[in-house]
Amino acid sequence: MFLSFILVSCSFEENLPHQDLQGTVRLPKEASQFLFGVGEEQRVIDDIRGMGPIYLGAFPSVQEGLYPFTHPEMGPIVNDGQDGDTYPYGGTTVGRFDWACYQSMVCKTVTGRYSSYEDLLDFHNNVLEQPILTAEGHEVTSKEEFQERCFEVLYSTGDQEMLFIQGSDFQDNGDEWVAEVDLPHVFFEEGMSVWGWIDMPSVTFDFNTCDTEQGAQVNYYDQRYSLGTNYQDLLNFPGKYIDNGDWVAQEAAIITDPEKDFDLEIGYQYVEE
Amino acid sequence: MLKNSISALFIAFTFGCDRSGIELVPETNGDFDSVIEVGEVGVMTTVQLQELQSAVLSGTNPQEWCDNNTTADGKRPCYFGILGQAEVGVKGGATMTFKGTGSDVCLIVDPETVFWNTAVAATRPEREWRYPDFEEDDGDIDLYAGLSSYYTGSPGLEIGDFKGFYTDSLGNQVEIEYGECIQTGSNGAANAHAGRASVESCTINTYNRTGIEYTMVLESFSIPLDDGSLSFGVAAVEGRCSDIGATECTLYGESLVANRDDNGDVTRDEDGELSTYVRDCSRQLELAYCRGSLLEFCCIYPEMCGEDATESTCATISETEESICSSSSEFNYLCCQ
Repeated sequence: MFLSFILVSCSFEENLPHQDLQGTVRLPKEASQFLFGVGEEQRVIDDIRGMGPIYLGAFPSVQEGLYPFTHPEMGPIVNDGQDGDTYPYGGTTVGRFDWACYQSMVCKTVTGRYSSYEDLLDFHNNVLEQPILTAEGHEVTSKEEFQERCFEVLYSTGDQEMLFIQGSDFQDNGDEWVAEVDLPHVFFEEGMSVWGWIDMPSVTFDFNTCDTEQGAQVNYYDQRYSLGTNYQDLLNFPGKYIDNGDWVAQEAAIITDPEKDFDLEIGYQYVEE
Repeated sequence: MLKNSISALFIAFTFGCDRSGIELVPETNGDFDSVIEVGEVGVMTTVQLQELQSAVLSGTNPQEWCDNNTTADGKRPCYFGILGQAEVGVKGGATMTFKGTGSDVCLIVDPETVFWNTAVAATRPEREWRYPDFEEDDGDIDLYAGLSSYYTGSPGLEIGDFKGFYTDSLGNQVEIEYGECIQTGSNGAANAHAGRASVESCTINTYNRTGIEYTMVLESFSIPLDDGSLSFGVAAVEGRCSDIGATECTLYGESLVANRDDNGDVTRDEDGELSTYVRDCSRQLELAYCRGSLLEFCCIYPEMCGEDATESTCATISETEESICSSSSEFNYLCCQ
């Protein structure tokens, strides 16, 4: 009888209005370019590893005229000086901020961009020419030193726990970069729009969507600081965070069938005039 | 074995369903309204707040002080009153309005009287909280506030809220909270409310809204079980609550008892306002709480605190009512004579 009770429970259909959406995001090859440095030192870097997280949300619709780029529709303005909330139905990211073991790396590392410690060191030493520094100000030069520091400060025993070196989210598809994405547990309304943007780095390789004061805390001998994480209301107020150089989807992917894969192109670069 | 376990579980469920919790809700009575509309209160200055504190601690009835003083715009600066238990399924509480000043306004509500968790550590329990509190004489009020234009209730008839609805372009309705009284919990959680007998406060920024009407809602979350009535004090004060230090020790004398005539009916003035007096010894209880001498106070006046103290709770207390009531005693402020 007890077994029957359990079996009946397992077959209960909750009829939740939520669906898991799958699809692809396509970016033009130019989206891997960004300006780095100031003054005469400034140069264009073309490297997909420098790209920030791609934020994707499901919204009732996107509209033109709210910003210089398309933007999800907004609800009423409730607080002075702040946009109306977009009231998203759900969302996800392609890559997220992760902490790469040193204070100098807070809000500088995104998952799905690097395949190894050497890859991350190469990007900072040879591409940005801005080496990773230890708490004492010494340059990190070897994979072994990097790995030992990570194992020590994160109390880890294997590289599989280092989410920032698990390989690239992107596939090279000729003229485009392509990433597979899942939007789990999205409130489904027929005709809703999947829309998003890429947070591109600033000239100092900082990201507008990362808050250095938030996130988990490191408490390791005399090192005490926040590890940084994304702001909580990115999908509620995207216009607050999209800034110069970011890439935005000009046309949303309209979802009529949650079982059908969507295809979203993020192909417009917002450049402030 | 399995059969026995399932039987025990079944019996436990059966007994569990037998508890309705109705004993935690007092009976309604006709003495006190469960929904009160106070009207407009003025925004008092911090100087007036200090005057109120001094007057009440000197023996003045806070309700009378609020009736006899006005803010710069001629409004009553505060309100002290009593709420009754609402009928089952109906929200009870008090509402009042104030006008935006163009600056920050701190809203404070203090339900009767004070509450503390008894220190129960096996070794060296915190001295201050060692004496148990009598829980059934405390009430709980939840404070809400926002622009009156968003308020959904009917003043004096029905308690409402500040929730509105937005319908997006696909017809999906989203609830929006227009209330502006945001209180933060001890763990940083927004939209928190304090518990039993604890003061609630929040700062409303009325910038650019000078003269615009706001509504305060004091929702009665629980009414004291011992008498079925919940007295409280409330005020709107200039400035931020963090600067004012809105605490349990901001408003005194909120434990009110209604005067009654020879027939036992509560008496009211010509405007229908209750005639009250401050419950005996309750000011001293508040002072004991605020000045860290609860153990002394409760050991001398156990009827004001709880009844479940162990024999050892007061073992270290040498003070007596006679000693604290002498003018030279450092605990003279606790004397209820």
